[in-house]
Amino acid sequence: MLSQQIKKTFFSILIVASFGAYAVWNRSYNSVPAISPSQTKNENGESFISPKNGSGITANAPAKIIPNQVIGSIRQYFEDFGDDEEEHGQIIRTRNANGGNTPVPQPQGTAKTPSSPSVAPTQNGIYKDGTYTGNTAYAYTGNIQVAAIINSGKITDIRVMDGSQSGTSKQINADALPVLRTETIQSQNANINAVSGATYTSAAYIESLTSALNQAKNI
Amino acid sequence: MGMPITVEIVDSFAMKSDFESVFSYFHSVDKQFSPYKAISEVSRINNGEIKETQYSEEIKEILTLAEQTKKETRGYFNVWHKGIFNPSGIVKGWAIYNAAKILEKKGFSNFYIDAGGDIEVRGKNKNRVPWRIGIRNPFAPNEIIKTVGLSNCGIATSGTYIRGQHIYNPHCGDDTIEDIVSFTVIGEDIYEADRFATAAFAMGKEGISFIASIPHLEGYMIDLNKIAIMTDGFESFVI
Repeated sequence: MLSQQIKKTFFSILIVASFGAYAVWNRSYNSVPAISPSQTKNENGESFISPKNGSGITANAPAKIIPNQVIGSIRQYFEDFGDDEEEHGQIIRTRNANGGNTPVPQPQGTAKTPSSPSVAPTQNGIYKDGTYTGNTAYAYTGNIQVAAIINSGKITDIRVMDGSQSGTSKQINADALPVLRTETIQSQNANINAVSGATYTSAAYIESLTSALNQAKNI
Repeated sequence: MGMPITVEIVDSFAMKSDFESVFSYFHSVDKQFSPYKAISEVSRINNGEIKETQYSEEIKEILTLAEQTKKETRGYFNVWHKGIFNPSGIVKGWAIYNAAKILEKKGFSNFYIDAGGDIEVRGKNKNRVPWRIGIRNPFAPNEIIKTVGLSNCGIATSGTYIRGQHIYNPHCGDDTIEDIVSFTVIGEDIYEADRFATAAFAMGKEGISFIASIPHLEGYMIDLNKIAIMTDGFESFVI
């Protein structure tokens, strides 16, 4: 009777201990945070302009920087590919608060997530109300042009201009496609190390936006 | 554009200086190639301040690679646009590849280098499995729609946001490519993945057949209707 009781106790402890060990192992193994639709992390303090039309592009809130801090073995910084600090004036300079070469801690698996529509560079009184269309800027294989809408001295919307309406390429011929697997995309939760995604139009976007804002300032 | 560059090295002997060597390399590439910096060599070429005979070795190399890429992509890849030289579409992948070589020479074999979403992966992650790379949802940039497990290769995504952005097909005048929003290519290294992702994206829907026709390349293309089309071998990477 007593030995049975001891056996039971022993097994209970064993089960609890193995569960604990599993939990610890699981926690360390899955320490990379999942990207989920609800996650709205702002990478390195950089804010994003997220216009209503869905064209999310980096804008520039003053970055919160912890100089030379390293988390784990990951290091990150912002390279100024495509920036012209002179011409982009205020906008670019605020982003470059990190000096362009200060490593900053990088949360693993963080997508470059647009925050809520926010416009960092606005200061009351700088811009005159109206709609200002920026210069067309070249983005590698295409052009981009944005318009800034200013209301009460603040940027209330940024629209990517529609440009040519001539439709899709005439060369496209769906019948010519080989048999390839097709699926409807669906968001997923996943433990990941890094994210592959398009970012390359940012420079042209910012260039065009800057010229629109310069017009808003000068008129 | 401020491009986030992330380097993770799993090999335990990585020092701060190893990371710094990668970052300073990217910094030097940016100084030389940025079309947005007035003093960059690229800007000075476009301003007519530098003659062809004065081009640096790096510029000559990029011009050669760009010309080769143009031929390999039926002219869809072009660093010249209306007389302006903008090699950014090839420099990024090339620079990431060179940066990976820097770490390789230092003896590292388990790391990744991510520059603005284009990634070279080597070896395995800290859990000793292939690096897990997510593909961003072009309609919701904070979401992942696919996860691939990669070792010793490159992955690059060309694309745009859901509305407004127009990528021009160089063969069709002002016709725009509106139906494809994201094109991911996995290649033997990031240089291959990046340049072919750019060209395939410019091809529109044809791009996926083009990628399927090239050995050692796999593609995942997403159109405006949220339909993805992938090459045969792509699925083998999907986790």
